[in-house]
Amino acid sequence: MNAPTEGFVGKSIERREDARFLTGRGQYTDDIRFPNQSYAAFVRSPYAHARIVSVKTDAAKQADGVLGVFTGEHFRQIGGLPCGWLITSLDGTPMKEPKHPVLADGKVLHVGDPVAFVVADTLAQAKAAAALVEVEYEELPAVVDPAKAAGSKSVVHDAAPDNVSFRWGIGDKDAVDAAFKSAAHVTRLEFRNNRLVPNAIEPRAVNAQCNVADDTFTLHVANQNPHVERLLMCAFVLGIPEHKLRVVAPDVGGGFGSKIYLYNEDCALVWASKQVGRPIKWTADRSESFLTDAHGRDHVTTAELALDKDGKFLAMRVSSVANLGAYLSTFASAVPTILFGTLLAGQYTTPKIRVDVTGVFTNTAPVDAYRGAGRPEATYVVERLVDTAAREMKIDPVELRRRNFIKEFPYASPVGLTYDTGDYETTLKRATELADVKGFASRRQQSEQKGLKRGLGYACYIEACGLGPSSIAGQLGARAGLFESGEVRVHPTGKVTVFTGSHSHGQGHETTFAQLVADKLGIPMDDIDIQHGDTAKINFGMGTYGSRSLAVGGTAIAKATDKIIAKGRKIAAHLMEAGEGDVVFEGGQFKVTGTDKAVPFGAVAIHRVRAAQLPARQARAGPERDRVLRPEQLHLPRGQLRVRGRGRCADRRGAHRPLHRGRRLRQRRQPDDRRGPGPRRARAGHRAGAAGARRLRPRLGPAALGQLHGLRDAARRRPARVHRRDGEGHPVEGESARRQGLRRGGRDRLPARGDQRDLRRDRHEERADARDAARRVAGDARRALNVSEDRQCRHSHTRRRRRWSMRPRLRRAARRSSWPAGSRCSRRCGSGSRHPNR
Amino acid sequence: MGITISLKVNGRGFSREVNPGMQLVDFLREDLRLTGTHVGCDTAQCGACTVHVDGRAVKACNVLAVQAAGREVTTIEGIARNGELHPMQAAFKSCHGLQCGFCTPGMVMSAIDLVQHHDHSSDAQIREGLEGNLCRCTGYHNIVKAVRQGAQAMGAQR
Repeated sequence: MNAPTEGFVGKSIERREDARFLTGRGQYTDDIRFPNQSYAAFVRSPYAHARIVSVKTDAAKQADGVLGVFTGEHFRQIGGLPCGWLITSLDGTPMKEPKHPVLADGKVLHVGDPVAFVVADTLAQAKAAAALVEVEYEELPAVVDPAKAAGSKSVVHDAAPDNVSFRWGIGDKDAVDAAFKSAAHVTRLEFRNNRLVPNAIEPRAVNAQCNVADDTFTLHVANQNPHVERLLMCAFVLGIPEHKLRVVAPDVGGGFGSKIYLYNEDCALVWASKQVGRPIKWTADRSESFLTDAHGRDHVTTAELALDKDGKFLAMRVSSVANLGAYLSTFASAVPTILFGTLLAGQYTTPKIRVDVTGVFTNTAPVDAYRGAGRPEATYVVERLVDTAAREMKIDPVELRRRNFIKEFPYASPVGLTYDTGDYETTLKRATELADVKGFASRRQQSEQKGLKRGLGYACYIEACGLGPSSIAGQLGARAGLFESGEVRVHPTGKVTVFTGSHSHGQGHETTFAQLVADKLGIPMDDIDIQHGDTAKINFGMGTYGSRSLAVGGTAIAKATDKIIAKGRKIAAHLMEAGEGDVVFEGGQFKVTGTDKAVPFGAVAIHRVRAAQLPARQARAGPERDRVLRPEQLHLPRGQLRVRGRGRCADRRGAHRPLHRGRRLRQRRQPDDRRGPGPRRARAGHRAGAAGARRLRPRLGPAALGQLHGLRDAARRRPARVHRRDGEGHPVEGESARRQGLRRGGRDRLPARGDQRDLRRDRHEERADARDAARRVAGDARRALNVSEDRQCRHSHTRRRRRWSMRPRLRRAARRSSWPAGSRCSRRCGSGSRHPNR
Repeated sequence: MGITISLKVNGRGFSREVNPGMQLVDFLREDLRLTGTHVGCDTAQCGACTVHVDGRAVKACNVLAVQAAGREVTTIEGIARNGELHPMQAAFKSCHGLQCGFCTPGMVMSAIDLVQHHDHSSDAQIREGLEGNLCRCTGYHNIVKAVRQGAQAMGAQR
């Protein structure tokens, strides 16, 4: 075997991106300067809470080089910045989401809240003119302490008069209370998990331009997920048609969460670039970063742990007030709830857990996800409680942990996650060895002799990563899916370009993903290029956060690469005049088993382009590409919902299914209506009924906030028509879900399962066979010829009924390894199983 | 009312009219388009803008362009020779001493100065020597390792 076949995965390989970073050739947003570049400077509130009496811009407008001065008035008719995760309060009401305007209008709600901005020829001119903007404020009492926010006389938003956005909770309260009554010991702690500033070393930067000739926009922005930025900005804020805005996130100097979000400045500059007709650049100075980057943490928590006399945990009760800041940032609501409450079991078998979280508005910078987001906060709560309990009960902290570790798997925690496997005793044992706990006493003594203090603490961490899957996230309130896209494009010369929806801002995707593909294709890494961070190049992407790039994005690429290999085998089989089943791919070569026949990967690639050498049915001329847009998105994240690296969560019914089976079930039974809006769902609205269509379609103008709710509603909507079957298996067609007595949510929200599903599948198969037979009889030669041997229908199948009709056939095909001759896409796209547009 | 300054940057002579208030970093980034020198703060704390002026490391955001008149300035773009990375650059690469790369140019320039002009025999001295450069990604361990390796390679080269 030649060198590349030895494999790349698992090897330590020097990063490919380092060469440009080390020589100063990285291209960060602020490094980019366009011809005719102009610059923006923002006027920000010096008050935490104040009414804006007047904004005088005359002097600024007259200043040298000024191209425009913009205030809240200009953005009054424009949508607010949306929040991407709906949390529903315990009383069933949706969280309160007051408008987050692009520029403050009427009131400023935190120090640094943007009030106006100036665009000028040079940065110095912009800054000088910004200083000339006169804002008269009437200062209002501010509330900054989350513990005092709820019910404070100082009201941040009129839409939330008690300053509360949501009151959320999970767990059996009565059972927890009962357990506390019977406990031999209760440990109680009150503490604050302090607020922090993410502080990526590269400040946020934006460079926006508008091509007035065709009304298209390009935004370069230091961001972790350019597609999401574009979606939110277009659909909810500015109303720009999504295909008219290109978002590029070039080299980005770290994010740590703070560059996930859609920010005021991004929207303001894109909007203004059309007004001034020139590219506009803004780069935060560090002081602005401190004031305006979304902060992290800021919980005020009361936590209690009930133990029996032997130190066995009986119950845990946690009550947190989460400071959301002045506005709901993009994922602010998910962090102290879904990402916090569900991790409170830690590594322990605490049988009853109750958590209540109140999200409050205060006159502080918005708070959102930062490094770990919610999960470190949960670990802090649990581990502080355990250590304190150990001290109070005079039990060794290691021993107390051992007594309570989860030892039997799978383990369903009382806060909703299922851990599939783990070995916590071993890791703790190893940690105590590494820390030389036995020798600690003497080390402490030595320190004391020098007048120094020495301490020892334990923490057993657990985390849910690789965020997804979309179906579960959707049920929990996510307003976007959590899948990832990966596309592998093979050029005629055998070189490969990989497009990923993940984004690298220090993680090293350009190396890791190339390593992955090189390993699979057996070609040198130098032959593989990784592209990311540009909506014009990459179909779609959910971006990088929550430790999901390799787990979700990398797996999407791996799946796409598998498809490339599968296609290559067909061509290679033809070239070597062998049966496809006899061709294997090893070490970058397609080989016929049992012979010395072989064709290298590159030769297959070039034959793909010299289509004349291929039989008509295989000749789809042009370079080969394959794409996994929704790469089994319903199972990948599920598989990667890691609990100490190897976990997964239960399906909706609480069953612990094998990964593979769970995925397939989920795919089959999840109708599109439940998936929420996605980029491919061009006709999503049709399925949610006429009202849904109106709501789903992103529109312009001031109704943007309304659309946000519309999207949410549509995502939660049950199908208007659900096909039930009567006792004899006949569908009860045309009857509304409501009239059939189906509830929203629960098992009834989805159509037929079990026997009903089988009935439907059989019926579809019968119909498909009948259609195929009819076509064969009709002698439709053109279509028959177009049917490729791989039988892989690549039609997008956006209509549910037809989509579903494909499933059993695909499954059947998998069972038989081949499809009956003449079978084709059920959408009758006219080209057999291969759709011409793909 | 600009002032004309002449200086050498990465071995090449430049003569430009600059605003007296212009910082050296802006001169390098905007006038000469040497964007490898970054700006990460406005308080001279992050060190991302570190360059060499007459062979000594300075934070270019804390020096006026006019102060560099007649001097020789070296930026990150100017330390690789004939397409070969400087030993310190090579050490950062092989020790994985960088992630997002934004602080890296300043870190490398400071490290070279440290090795050339200060005692760097212990890790503690290396850490102290790099106190003026902040990195948010790596946690510094690999940077210290890289400086140690880079120092050895520089010593061998001399």
